[in-house]
Amino acid sequence: VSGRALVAEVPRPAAAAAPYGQVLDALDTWIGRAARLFPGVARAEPDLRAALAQVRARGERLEAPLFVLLAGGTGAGKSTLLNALAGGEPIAATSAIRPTTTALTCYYHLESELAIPGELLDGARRAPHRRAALRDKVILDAPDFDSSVRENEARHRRALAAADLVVLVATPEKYAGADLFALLEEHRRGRSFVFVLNRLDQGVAPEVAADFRRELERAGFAQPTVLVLSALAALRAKRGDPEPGPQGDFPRLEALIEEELTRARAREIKRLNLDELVLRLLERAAEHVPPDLADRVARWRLSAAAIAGEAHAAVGESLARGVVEDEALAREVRGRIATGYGGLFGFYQALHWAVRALGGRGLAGAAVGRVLAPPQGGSAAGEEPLRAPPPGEDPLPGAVLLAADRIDDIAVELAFARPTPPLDAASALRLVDRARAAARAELTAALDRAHAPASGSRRVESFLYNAPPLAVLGYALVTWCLALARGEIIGASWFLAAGLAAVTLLATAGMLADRIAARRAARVVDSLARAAREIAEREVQGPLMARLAEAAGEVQGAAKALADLREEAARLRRPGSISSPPATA
Amino acid sequence: MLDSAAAAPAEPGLASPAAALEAALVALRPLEATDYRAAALATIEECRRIARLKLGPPAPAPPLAVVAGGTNVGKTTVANALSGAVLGRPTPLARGTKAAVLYVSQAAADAFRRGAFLPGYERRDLGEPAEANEEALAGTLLVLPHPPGAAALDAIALADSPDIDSVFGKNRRVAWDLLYAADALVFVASEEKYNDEVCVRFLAQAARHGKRIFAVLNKSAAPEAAEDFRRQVVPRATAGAPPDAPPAEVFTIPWLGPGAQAGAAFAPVRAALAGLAEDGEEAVRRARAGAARALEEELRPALETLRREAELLEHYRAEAREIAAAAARSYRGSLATLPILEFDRVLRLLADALRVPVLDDFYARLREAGRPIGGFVRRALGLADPQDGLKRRIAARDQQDVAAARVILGEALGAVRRLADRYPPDLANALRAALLPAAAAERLHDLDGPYAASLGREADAWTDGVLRDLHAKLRTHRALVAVIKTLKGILRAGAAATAIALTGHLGLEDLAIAPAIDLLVKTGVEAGIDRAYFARKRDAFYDARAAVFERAVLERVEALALARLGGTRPEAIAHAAEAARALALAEGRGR
Repeated sequence: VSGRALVAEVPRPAAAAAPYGQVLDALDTWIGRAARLFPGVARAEPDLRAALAQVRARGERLEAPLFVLLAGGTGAGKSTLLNALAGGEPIAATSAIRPTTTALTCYYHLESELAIPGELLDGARRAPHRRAALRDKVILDAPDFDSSVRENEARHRRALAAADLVVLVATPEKYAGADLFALLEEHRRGRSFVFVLNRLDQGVAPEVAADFRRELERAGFAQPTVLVLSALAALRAKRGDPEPGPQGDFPRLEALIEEELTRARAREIKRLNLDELVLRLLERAAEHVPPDLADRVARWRLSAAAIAGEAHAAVGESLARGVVEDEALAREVRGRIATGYGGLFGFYQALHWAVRALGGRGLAGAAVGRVLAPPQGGSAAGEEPLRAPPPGEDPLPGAVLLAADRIDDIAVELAFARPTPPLDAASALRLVDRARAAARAELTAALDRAHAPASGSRRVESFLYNAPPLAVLGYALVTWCLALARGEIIGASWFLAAGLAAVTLLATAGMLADRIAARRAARVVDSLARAAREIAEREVQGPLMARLAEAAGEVQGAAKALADLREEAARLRRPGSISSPPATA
Repeated sequence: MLDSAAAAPAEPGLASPAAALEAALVALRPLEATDYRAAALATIEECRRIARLKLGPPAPAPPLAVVAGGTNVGKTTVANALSGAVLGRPTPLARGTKAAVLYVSQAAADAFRRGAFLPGYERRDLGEPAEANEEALAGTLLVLPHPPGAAALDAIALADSPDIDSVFGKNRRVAWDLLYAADALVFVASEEKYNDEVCVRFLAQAARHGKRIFAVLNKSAAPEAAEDFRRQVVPRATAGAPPDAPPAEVFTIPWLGPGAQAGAAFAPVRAALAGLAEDGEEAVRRARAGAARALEEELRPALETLRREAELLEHYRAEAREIAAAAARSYRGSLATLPILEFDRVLRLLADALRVPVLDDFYARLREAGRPIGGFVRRALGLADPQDGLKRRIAARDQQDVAAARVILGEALGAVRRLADRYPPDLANALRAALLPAAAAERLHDLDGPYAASLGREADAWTDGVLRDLHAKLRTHRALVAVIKTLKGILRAGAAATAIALTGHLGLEDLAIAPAIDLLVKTGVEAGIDRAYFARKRDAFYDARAAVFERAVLERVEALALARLGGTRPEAIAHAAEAARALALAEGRGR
C-alpha cells in the first residue's frame, strides 16, 4: 500500500457514521482474546489498543471539520504559510530564531471550536476566525520535529496523529533530510499529503523540485503533488505589499484549501484515510499472527504426538511390565487355568495347586492387583520444581506431566501460547490412576475368564483327563465285584494297586494339563500386556492430544476471526481507493 | 613536524595502544536478541573507528580541517572559498557532494594518500570538480594536491565533507569518519539549520573530541539568528569540550542573494585557519588526546552494559549447572533401593573358591552330567534358564532405572528452560533465543542406547573390580579359605559318616546331605560377606551409576542452554577498558 497524495477525485455519497464500528469492536475483543494465544499480540497489546483508540476517534470524526496540518522542519516556513493562508493576519509568530514555534497553533472557525479534540487545544495557541471559506477546516501549525528542542518533536507527532491532510512544508535545504523521510515513513498511511517546496523568493531550481518528487516516489508516495511557492511573498501580497515577489503555486494551495476541499470532499478524504488506517491496524494485528499458522499447528501436532506417544509408551510399558514380570501373577493365571476342570481330575488339580500354594508357590490371590497399584511412598504431586521421585515413588505421573510440559514448550516456540491452564500434577496423577484402574479391571476379567470351564474344548479336555483314572478305578471295582460274586475275596492290595495306577494317571494328566496351562497363561499374559498398552494409549495419549486439539482449535479460531475481520474491512472500504486493489470478497 | 606526538611512541615490539584497543573491541559481543545489542554494537563500532581513524601511530602530516554540516548549507561553497580552489561544484540539489575531497599541499599529499589516513577508503586524485558529486564515488577519498606556495593555507589540509543529515546514508558515514580523523572542524550552518538536532549533535561531538571549532553561519540575513547562533547554540553545543581547548570561533557569512559570492566575508575564517596552521602541532596533539578521552568516555556505558550482562550470564550458567548437579543428586538419592543383581556373579566366584577338592568335584560332575536332563525337563515344563533369568532381570532393572532417570532429566531440562523467566526481560529474551529450539531439544530427553550401554559398562567395571578385589583377598587370606574349606569338608564327611553309621549303608539320601551342607555354608558365608564387605562396595556401584547420569544431564543442559549462549568474557571487557584507559593515558601524556 503506498502513501497517497491528494489528487482530484469524484466525490462519493456519504456513508453511515462510524462505518467500521462493528469491525473495531470485534477487533477490540479479538485483541483481548489473542493476547492469551499469541505472545506477539500480548507484547503489542498496548500499542494495538492505542492505535485502535486513535482509529476509533478518527472514525467518529468523519463529520467533523477537516484537520489540515502544516508540518515540516524548523525554519521551513510553516508559520509564515499559515499567516499567508489566514489572509496576512499575524496568527503565528515568525522569526529567524530557530526554532520559533514551540506550541501548536490552531486556526479554526469559531463555530467548529467544539469539534476540536481537547488534547489538541490543550496548551495550543488558539486563533478563531469567521471566514466562511474555511468553515469546515481547522488549520494547525505544528512546532518542528528536527530542532535541538526535543520536546517539539513529541508535539509534532501528536499533531500528525490527528491530521487528516498534511501540508508538508520543505525547503531546498531540507527536502532530503533523513529524519524527514523517517517521519514520513512512519506516518504516511492514514493521512493525505500535499507537498510544498517553500522559499521560491530565494530561488528554487527546477531540478530541486524534481529531485524532491523523486525522493517522495522512492518513499512510496504515488505521483506526489509538489507545489513550489514562496510563503513570504504570499504573505507580503496578502498584506498589500506592491512588490511581493513571485508567489509560485501559493494560489493553487489556497484554492485547494479554501475551495476544492468542500465538505463532501473533506469527508471523502477522511473516509479514504479511515479505510487505510483500519486496514493498517488490521495488518499490524495480523503481523503478530504467524502466517503459516496451519503449518505450525500441524508441526505441533506431529511433535506432540511423538511426545505423547513416548509418555503413553512409558505408562504402557510400566503396566505391561507389571503384568509380564510378576511371577506370582503368572503362577496365578497358570493355576487358575490348570484348576478349571471338573470331576476327579478337577479335584486332583485343586488339591495339587492348594498344596503348592501352601509351599508359597501356588495361587497367591493377594498378588493380583498389587502389581498394578502405584508404588507406596506418596503421590507424584510436588511443589518443588526439581525433585526426584523419592525412592519407591511412582515415576509415571511425572512422566505424563513432563510430556504435557514439553508439548506446551513447543507451542510457545511456534509462536502461540501454551494451552491454559497447564496440566497440573493432580490431573497427571488422575490420568495414570485411571490407566491403572482400567488395567486392573482388564486383569480381573481375564482371570475370571481363565477360570471358567465354559468352552467345548475345555469339556473335551476335562473328559479326556478324567477318563483313564476313572476307567482304571471302574475296572478295579467291577473286577472286585465279579470276584465277590464268584465268592473270592480280593485283598486290599488290589485296590492299592488300582489307586496307585489312577493317581499315576492323574499325575501324568496333571503334568500335561499344567504344561498346556503354562502355554495358555503365557498367551493370556501377553494379551494382558497388549491390553495394558492400549489402555495407556487411550488414557494418556488420548487426553494429552485432546488438550492439544482444544488449544489448536482456539489458536486457529483466533487467526480465522482476524482473517474474517480483514475480509469484512476490505468489503467495507470504499471502492476505488487508490492505495490498494478493490476487495474481491 | 609532529615531533611531540611522535615522542610518545608505542614500545618497540608491541602493537600500538590503538591497535591493541581495536583488537580488544573486536572481542566484545553483546548477546543476540537483547534490546541493548544494537546500541552497544554501534558504540563499539564507532569507538573502533575512532581508534583506527584518529589514534593510529602518529604520522607526520599537517593538521586536518574538515568542512562539514547539514545538506545544502553551502559546505562546498565555503570549502572552495577558503581554499581558493575548486574542490567541488556546488549544486542546488541536496546531498550534492558524495566523496570526501582533500585539498593539501603537494609535499604533504603523500601522507594522506597512504592508508594510514582514512584506512579502508579507496583514494584517488581529483580530476574534474564534478567528480565529488558522483554517486559511484561515494565513500571515496579524492585528493587535490596543490604546489607549495600556491595556496593561502599551505600548512593545513582542508577537506570538504559530504552532508551529515540527508537520506543518502553513505554520506553520513563519510562525514563522521572525516570528523573522527579531523583536527579542526569548520562547521557550516545556515539560518534554517543552525539549530537542527542532527547538526548540533555533530558539533557537540566534535567539541567533545577536542577538535578546534570554527562555526560558520552561512547565508546569514537576520542578525538575531546570527546572535542566537553565536551566543546560544554554539556555546551550548561546545560546552563538553576539554577544559584546555580554545573556545569555538564563530563567523557569519552574509546572504547576498542566489549565486552571489561573499568573498570578503571569508577573510576572518581564512585567518583563523592560518592561526590553526601556526598552532598545528598543538591542535593535532589536542585532537588526539580529546579523541582518546572521548573514546574512553563513550565506551564506558557500553562496557558497563556488557559487564552487567557478563555477570548475569555467569549467574545463569552457574544456575543451569546447579540444576544439573541437583538432578544428579536426586538421582543418586533414588538409587538407594536399586537391587544390585551383579552381586550374584560375585557370589558364584566365592562358591567356586570355596570348593572342596574331591567332594565338590564329584558333585560338579554329577551336575554336569545332569545338565542335559535338567535342560530337557526345564524346556518341557517351560521354565526359564536361571542364567537367562538373571540377564533379563538386570535388563528390566536397568530399563526401569532409565525410565526414572528420564523423568529427572526431563524435570531438569524443563527447569533450565524456564530459568530465563527469572532474568530481566531484555536478557530473558536473549537467553530464550539461545535455547535450543524445543523441537530440536526433544532428542535431549532421550536416554538412548548409548546411555544404557554405559550403565552396563559401569556395572561390568564394578563387577570386575569387585571380583579382582575378591580374588586378591582370597589369595591373601589363603589360611582362612583353607579353614573354611576344611570345615566344609569335615562337616560334609562327618555328616555322611553319621548317616552311614545310622543307616548302616551308603544310600541315595546320603548323597543329598552334601548339597544341604553346601547350602548352609553358602548362606552363612554370603550373609557374612554381604554385611562385612559388600556394604562398602554398594556405594561405589551407585556412585558410578550416578556419575554416568550426571555426565549425561550436564551434557544435555549444556547442549540445551549454554552451547549457543554467546556473550563476552569478563576478561575481554576488562581488557578493553584497560586498553581504552591506556590509550587515553598515552595520548594525554604529551600535555
